[in-house]
Amino acid sequence: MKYQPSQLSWIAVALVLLVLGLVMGNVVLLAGAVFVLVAALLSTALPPPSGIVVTRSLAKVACWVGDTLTVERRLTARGGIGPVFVHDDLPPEARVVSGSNLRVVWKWPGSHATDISYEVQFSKRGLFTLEETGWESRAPFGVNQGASGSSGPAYQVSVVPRIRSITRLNAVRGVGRYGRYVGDLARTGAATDDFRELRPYLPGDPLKRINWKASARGTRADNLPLVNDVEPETRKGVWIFLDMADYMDVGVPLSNPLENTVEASGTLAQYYLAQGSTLGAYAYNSYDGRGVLLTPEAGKRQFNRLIQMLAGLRPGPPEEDLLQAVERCKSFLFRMQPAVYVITRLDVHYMRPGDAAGSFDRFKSAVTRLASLGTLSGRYSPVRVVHVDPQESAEESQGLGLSRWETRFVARELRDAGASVIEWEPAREEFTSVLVRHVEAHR
Amino acid sequence: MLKPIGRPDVRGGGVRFVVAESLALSGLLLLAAYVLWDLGFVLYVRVPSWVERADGLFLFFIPWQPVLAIALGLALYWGLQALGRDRIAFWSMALVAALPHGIPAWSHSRIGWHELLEFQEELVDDRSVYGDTALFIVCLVGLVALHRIVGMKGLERRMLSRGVESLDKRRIMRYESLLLTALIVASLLLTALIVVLATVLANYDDLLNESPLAIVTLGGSAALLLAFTLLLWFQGRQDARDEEGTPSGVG
Repeated sequence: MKYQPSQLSWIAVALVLLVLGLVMGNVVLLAGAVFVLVAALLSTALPPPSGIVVTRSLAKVACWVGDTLTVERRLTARGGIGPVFVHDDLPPEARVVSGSNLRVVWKWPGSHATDISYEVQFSKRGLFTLEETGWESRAPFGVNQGASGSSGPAYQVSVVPRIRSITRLNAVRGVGRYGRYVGDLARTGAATDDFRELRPYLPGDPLKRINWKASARGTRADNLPLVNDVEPETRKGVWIFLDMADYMDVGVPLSNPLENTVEASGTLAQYYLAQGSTLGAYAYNSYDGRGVLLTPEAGKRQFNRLIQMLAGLRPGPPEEDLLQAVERCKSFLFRMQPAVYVITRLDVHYMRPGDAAGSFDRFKSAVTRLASLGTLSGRYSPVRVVHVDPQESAEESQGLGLSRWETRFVARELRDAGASVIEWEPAREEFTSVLVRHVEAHR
Repeated sequence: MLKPIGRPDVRGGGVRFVVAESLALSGLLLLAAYVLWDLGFVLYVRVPSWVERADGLFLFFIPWQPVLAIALGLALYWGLQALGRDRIAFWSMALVAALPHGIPAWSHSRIGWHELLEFQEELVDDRSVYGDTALFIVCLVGLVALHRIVGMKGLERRMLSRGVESLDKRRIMRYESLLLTALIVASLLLTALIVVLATVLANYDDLLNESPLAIVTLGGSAALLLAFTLLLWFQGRQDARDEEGTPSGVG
């Protein structure tokens, strides 16, 4: 902070001149005192802007990632003269794209009102707080004390991931006609009265479903009771595993593998839930070290719950692998026997020399275990591993293309393990297009 | 978080004020040097022989003494500022610029303290009181301007560091400069008015048993101005406190 002589210093100077002038009867010193005092009086007489009110409004408090949000601000000041600083403290994820969140407005005498809007873009999902608008008035010569304050309530802005339209996917005849995904029948959901079969008891089955008579016959070697299995109300079961490790959070904020993962899961959820499926999800490697679980449900509310969950996801260290995630969700997976989507980056699973042995094996083992769910159910419900390409920069991609080669190697291994690998390059195409192509390729 | 628009250019904005500050200070020092020269003070400085030769050849037209005084003053000012002694820099320069005016001002005292103390009698000779007053007030104008330039530089730095748009910044600086000019002009006019009034009244000095009416008028005016200034200053502080205590605006 640079030194600025205060008004009091000038008053002191004038006082010295005045006293000396009077003591010596000196016209020159008295005239000097008069000049300094006139200047001090005039500058003090100009009060800083007062009666300041800043109103702020947002057109909406929920938006998509990458959407532009207009923040309307109106500054009103009743009296005074001088500059007024108006500022909004924004979260780091917000980027001002038009106007400025910090404006300085000059206030002339009289009532004054001005609009100082700006536009902001959120590059990440989440719930963000726009704190109160702060203002600060200042006297024109900096000699008088200004005032400061804040106006308006703080806003909570909910930024939800952008979900692409699934119209094109629904239009693919193969999906409806050949029922590519119709086989992904769920074992859970609201139960109907339609008896399907007798099956051994599984953990989580309600006791009232046990068929005591059939169990009493004791035909099973493991002595497990038999339960009446009924047709679930929902038709399909889908489970999505999202990899939230920090290696996904690379590249530009608006389009990186992490955001693409979120977008892909939203698109999948939209598609399946629209068809009446039961959907569950688990995000592993989230920021707090624990995974985030979305318990399986069907319907539109489930989509909203998923969006809420997606909005709050943050990347974390890769401390939990897919195998652990599968372990955590196995009760749901056994009951649902769903079609499983794993969304991750495959190139990071490639085992380079010096890497800890077994990490890729564990990933492959998890995929094998998930693939075996389809065998259990007796229906075709494969594991689909979606590889989100990290969108290398032009300089990097001109090299040997090592990461692509690694991706292909891992993809081949996974296919051998019974998974279906979907490679997605977000820079080139939308996820819906990839799904359309994938569906058509398997017609 | 405040998001700067564009690239903050702290140095670029400051150069203009550094130049203005240097010019104002040079003017003040030049004025002080002129007053000293007018009083007959001569500063003898030994310079290297090559400077003397160069001076004799083609630099004879350069007035070395004021140039030297200004250079020394500027070096001292910026040196102290570089050391972070801004307060000392400003007030020491204010003293350096204003003290030379004290000698001619001393000579116009109506109460002869200097005569009682028996010194500087040769300075009491026929100097114009109007001329000396004008020079002293010009010096004060320069100091007030320098003070405001320092203040404006601080304001601009603050705006730049916070990422204020250059358009807003330029507008604020323009209005501040405009107000500074208006303040100086208005102050000069009002001061001139009061001085003229005092001069007119000085013609009737003998009305009050030889008490100097000009002194009384000027002194009274200055005392009144001082009282008003202090009143307004304290009121401003109170208003600012009240303003901050009042909740405002619901968005």
